[in-house]
Amino acid sequence: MDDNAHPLTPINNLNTVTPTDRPNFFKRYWLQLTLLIIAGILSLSVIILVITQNRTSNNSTSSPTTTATNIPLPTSNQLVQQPFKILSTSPKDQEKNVFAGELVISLTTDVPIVASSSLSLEFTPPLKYYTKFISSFPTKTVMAQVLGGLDTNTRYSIAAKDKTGKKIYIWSFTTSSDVGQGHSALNSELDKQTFETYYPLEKYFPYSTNDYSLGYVDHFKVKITLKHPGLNEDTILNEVKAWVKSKGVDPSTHQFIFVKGY
Amino acid sequence: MKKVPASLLSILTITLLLVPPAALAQATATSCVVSKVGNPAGNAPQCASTSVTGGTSSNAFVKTAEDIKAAYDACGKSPIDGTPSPGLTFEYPGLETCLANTLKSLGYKDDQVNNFITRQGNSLVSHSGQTGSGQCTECLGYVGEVIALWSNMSDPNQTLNTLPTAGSVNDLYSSSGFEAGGKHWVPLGTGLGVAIQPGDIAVAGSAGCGCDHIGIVHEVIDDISMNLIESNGGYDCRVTTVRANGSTSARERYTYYRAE
Repeated sequence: MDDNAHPLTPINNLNTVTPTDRPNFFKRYWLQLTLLIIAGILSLSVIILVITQNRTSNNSTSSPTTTATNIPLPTSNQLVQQPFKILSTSPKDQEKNVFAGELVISLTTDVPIVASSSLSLEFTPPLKYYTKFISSFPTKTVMAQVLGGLDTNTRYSIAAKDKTGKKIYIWSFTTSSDVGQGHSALNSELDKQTFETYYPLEKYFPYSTNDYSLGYVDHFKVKITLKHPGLNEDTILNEVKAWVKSKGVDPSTHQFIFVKGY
Repeated sequence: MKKVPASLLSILTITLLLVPPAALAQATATSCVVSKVGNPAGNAPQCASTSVTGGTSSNAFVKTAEDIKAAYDACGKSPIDGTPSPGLTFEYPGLETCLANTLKSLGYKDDQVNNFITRQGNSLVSHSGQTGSGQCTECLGYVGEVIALWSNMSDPNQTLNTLPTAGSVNDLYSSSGFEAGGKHWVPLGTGLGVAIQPGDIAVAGSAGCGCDHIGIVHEVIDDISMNLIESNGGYDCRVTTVRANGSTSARERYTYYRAE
């Protein structure tokens, strides 16, 4: 140590920075400092980006009609249907040779249709079955599937009506002689309706305990398959009926049969 | 020595921050490799189900049906306007090449594939009749294609090739059965109580009812329900084992046929 040095003068080789050293420090470490500042700015940008993306994706999952913005659209329940006009249709008015299968009718409107109840389609002649809306609401492009198809070589007129039954637009088209090979859309619905009508517990099956398993064998008829001997059928029947009731189904609507599964 | 760590730290930090998060996520995601042959528009290929391409079925007829499904999944383009998403379209040059190559990659020989292509070409039906929507194979055509590939026969006079609609099978053959693919298909009966198995042909309704359909039993779930492997035709042009509405098929609504 220099004997002439002031007792409070810092020792340079300890790297202690004093106000008088700052210019030298910045001069020596300018590259590192610049890079660290850039890194800091980039980190902040990425954090903001990630937060923004998370919010957008959360909105997307909560509503199928949410746009790319962070502002969620009102749901159908919150919207009031505004008067609307039909801008275009498919098939087009006066179109010929339209396929007589399970056609998808689509129409575009000037304002969003907020719910399926805002619009109805009346066919003349009437359909064998019915149409089902396949769009998500609200939408300006409404799509309805003709379940069971159309008659061949037939001129159909469709009236689009509002909620009050007022006819908003009427258009016509003529089907071709081509018929669909089958009607898969209607069949999907008929199968689903069969389960809902005659097998209301099917969605909870298979159901199984250590002692028995349950399954349908016919309309409203449940098979209780016993897994081992020595079980009390009355006790199990009461247990099963309580389980059926817990699913919101009246047990008296069903018949129960026991089967030995061992 | 003191300068190096600080510089390295800064550069490393910047490098990491400059890599897009999406790229990192992609790097860890499971990849799906599907041939894009015959997909000139370069649409994103659809992943075929692993169980389908893996050939897990022991029933040769069902396996054939699954393989054709895999081919349609790989070669279809989506979407089609006016279908429940995601509908597929098959009207583009190169479709047949794509289907043929996919089936060959699954182990089918040239003559089998040629018989399939012949049958497939006769089974396209306009989809929904909407402009630009293309064509697809409907339910009856699909079952005919499965028989052609499975039997290595494409005789145009075979029963399923000549019928207009699926329901015609029940109208004409629910008592006597029918000939197809060099086999006699025996009627097993209608509704609950028929002991069905994967590979049986299931037919609903009759011609003209607007409610007819045909498919192949893919899975027997329980005494009242099953899954079909079927072509949705005008619905969304897909061959599928899972229905868009989530429902299985009600066994009581179908009449069944089995190859002797």
